[in-house]
Amino acid sequence: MPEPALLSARDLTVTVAGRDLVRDVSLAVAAGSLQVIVGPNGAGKSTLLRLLCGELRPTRGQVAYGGEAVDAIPAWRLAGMRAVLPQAARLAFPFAAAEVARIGLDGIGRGLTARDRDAILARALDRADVTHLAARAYPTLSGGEQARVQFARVLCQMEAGRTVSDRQVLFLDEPTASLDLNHQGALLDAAAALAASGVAVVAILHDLNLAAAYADTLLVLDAGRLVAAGRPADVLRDDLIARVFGVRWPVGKIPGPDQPFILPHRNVAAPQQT
Amino acid sequence: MRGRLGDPRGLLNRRSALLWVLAALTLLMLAVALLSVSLGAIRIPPERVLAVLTGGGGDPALARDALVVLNIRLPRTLLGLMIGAGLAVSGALMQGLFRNPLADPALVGVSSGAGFAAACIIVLGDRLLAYAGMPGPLPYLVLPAGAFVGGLSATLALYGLATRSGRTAVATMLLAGIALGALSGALTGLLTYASDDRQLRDLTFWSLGSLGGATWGKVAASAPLILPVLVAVPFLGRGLNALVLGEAEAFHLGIPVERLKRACIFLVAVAVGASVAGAGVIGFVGLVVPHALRLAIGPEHRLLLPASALLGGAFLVLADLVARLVAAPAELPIGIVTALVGAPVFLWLLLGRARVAVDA
Repeated sequence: MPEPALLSARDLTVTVAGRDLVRDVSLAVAAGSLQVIVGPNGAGKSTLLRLLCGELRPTRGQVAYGGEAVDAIPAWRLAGMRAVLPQAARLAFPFAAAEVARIGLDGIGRGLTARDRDAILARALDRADVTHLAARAYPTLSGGEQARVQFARVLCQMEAGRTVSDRQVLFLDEPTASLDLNHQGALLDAAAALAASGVAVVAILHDLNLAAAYADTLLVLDAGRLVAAGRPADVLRDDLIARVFGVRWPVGKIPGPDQPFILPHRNVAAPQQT
Repeated sequence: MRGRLGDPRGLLNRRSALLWVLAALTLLMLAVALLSVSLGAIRIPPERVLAVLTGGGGDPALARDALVVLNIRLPRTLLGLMIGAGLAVSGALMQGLFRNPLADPALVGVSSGAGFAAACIIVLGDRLLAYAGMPGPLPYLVLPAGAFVGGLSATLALYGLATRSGRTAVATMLLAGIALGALSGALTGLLTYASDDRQLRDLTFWSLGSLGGATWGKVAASAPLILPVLVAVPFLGRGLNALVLGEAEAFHLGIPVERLKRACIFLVAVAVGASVAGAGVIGFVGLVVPHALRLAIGPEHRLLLPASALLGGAFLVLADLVARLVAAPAELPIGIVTALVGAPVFLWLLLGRARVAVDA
């Protein structure tokens, strides 16, 4: 008998001012899977993410974590079960980068000593490649550096939360938007590694090539509806691209020799210094 | 030495730094308080102040000093410490809540509401009493009590305006607070226009603030309002740190955001209401003290909030000392001193920071 999906949504609908931002979306995310939501602007991707993480209440339908309705879970417990990487976060106060990351550890997790927390923080800063920025004031960092500090904060929350719940979900809202190629790959590799360790990962991506490289399930959203879901190889078809994104770009066809292209490859590390 | 900070443990091993900062600020506050009790029209050396405070052993030479210290200067100093602490902490809370270093306790409408209520009582109180057939001065507590109620009701009205289906929009609250402030400012202006000379003097005193009327009665009336706020505030530090990232992010981190916002708003309303009731409207403390501290010790709220209380108390008592010494035997309104001292210090800090930012 299958256990309930780590994260499931049934018939989600959100109506704001008479318009359905998300309409009748149902999905299930299993532990260890990496699902990527794609779709054109205004398709309802971010709204769906906000519904799934419990931030927004649906007009109809329900979100459940391991079968438990999300609005029945208090905020403090939910914080141990899922973390959310926001699109961009500006800070009005000059917190140091390490202090921002450390906010992800405050009050989350059980039985962690100060030494444990320091160790978690150091690991998170390292994995997000921001250890060298630890003492810099967050507002003075570039957009991409800020995004990596936020990723370190989310990693802190995930690792501290693991002491409370070993069934966790990680949400990433356009995590690669402001990152250079090297850090795009590194971030998604880290997300894939978390998925391999049993975390359910749900990410919004704009870059279909990145989505195809990393997703085990692709969810295509258009005008609030889930219009396709499945393996990237099954979902990404010429007709769907034309219908949803309004471009007649062929899938899997190499452009002419005068147009070089670069495609992402999973788990390919930065060039070796040899 | 910046390399050392690159090690996160070096940076975050701040627990001892935190204790040092708070200990130093406590010492500063006690020193300023001792100075405030010791200086004035009659100079009482600190050792005699301490002798009075520790009982004095019944020395008859101390009797006069004891009278001055216990009846006049001690209540004034204690009231100053409490109000300064309350205003500075309120400023830090508002800045954290609105995620804006320029936010001020006045923004939640409490100052303007209290000011308007006070103006009503000062200008219309006598006439209403006469109309009711009870000529004579207003009972002593009517003015502070009215100001407190006025401040609290303005905050409640504002909170109601900005809250839809259980969610408080802090941006709406800020804008509505500015509108409400302008409205009550205009109405207060109207009352000022209609007032006679004595009422005008009372209004001026009220709007510039003074600790001159400090009595044990006022200390006893303010303490049960301000002290609980000061005790409660450190528990909001973690939530405010998370709120710095944004409301949604704070929720993702497990903070009960709506409850946190409500707690901030009501703690500020109570502390500022009690401050205005005790000493009139004193500006600038809530802005300059947390800002100066953020530049010196960083924005982490668990340290910033208690540090603001200590430095706010010291700052206001020092300002009061200047207010009563500089033109003795007359007294300046304390609001003039806080602005005269605070504004240049504030600008100096800003300029210094701008230079650092260019260096970094």
